[in-house]
Amino acid sequence: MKDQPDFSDPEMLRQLRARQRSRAIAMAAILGGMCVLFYVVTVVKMGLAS
Amino acid sequence: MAQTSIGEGVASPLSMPADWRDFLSLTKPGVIQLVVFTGLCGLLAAPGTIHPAIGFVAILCIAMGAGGSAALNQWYEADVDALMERTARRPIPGGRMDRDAALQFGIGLSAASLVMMGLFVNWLCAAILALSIFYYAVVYTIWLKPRTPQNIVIGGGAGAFPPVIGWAAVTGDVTLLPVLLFALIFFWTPPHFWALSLFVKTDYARAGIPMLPVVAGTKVTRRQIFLYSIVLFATAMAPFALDLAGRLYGLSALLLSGLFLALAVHVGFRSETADDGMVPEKRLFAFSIFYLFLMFGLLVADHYLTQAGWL
Repeated sequence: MKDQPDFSDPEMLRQLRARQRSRAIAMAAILGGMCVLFYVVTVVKMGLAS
Repeated sequence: MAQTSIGEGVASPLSMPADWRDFLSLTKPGVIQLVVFTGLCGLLAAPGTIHPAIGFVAILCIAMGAGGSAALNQWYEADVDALMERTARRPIPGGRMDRDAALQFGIGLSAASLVMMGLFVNWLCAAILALSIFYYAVVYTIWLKPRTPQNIVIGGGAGAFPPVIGWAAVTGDVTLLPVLLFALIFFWTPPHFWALSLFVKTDYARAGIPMLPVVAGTKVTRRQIFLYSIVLFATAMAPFALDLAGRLYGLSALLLSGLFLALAVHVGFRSETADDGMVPEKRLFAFSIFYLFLMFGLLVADHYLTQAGWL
């Protein structure tokens, strides 16, 4: 078993922040993409329905 | 970042929150490429039209469903993956991801793919996609793989659904040609994976997975590769023989499936020596991937060229 990382170490804390930032950016990109996709598909479905 | 050795990883605590790249690798992007391609070919080969945005959603949902079921597969098999060199560095056995996170990610991605497919494409596609996810995550991963050397044969059905889904996205039904495309992938899977298992069988044996070479020996496996390649040849020719595909497909299927069969004959009737490097098996495995891409690509080309009156 390994010990939990010591986030009082500045280098570990920097790595943690970098990891959190990259995950947040990836999540934002996915959510933004989904918003655009849902908007486009809704418009297309409305067009097809009419 | 924490690194673990083989067999050690699963119980390791997290050193960091999992990176987004680890979530991506949990979806097995290499496998998704083939799934997306065959799904797209099913969609393009179907009669009729589909709005590009709806078609894109259908393919995206196929990819998401495949990714979700791959994540569930890795969640369930983390202990086994830790024992095999080929899989020991995956996110969970590598100690880079919490097992629960993989489970939640797999369920979330699968559920999202089904809802999107049902709402934006049609519910027949969503039902077939749900069946394929259940087939891979439960029937293959949990039920068949640890229990029977026929795991690959029956489990091969899991990867065979995408062209059927692609077809159903356009037509709203399932006819004989998509069933034959399903059968093509179904009968392609055993020789493809058994060729792989011949040169990684020591890994499977160590993990206790009853792959055919481990349970029945290499001689039986080689004969089975040959026999399934004959069935594959017949299945590949069926769309042309039944007048569901044109001459370009027919000629290509004859040549490519003939080459596949020739490679399978070489693998099927030889005995390996300690230092031969398993070259024929590796060659068959590599060609089998190329084969499937070409067969589906040529089916689509045949469809459009015939439609355009060029064939």
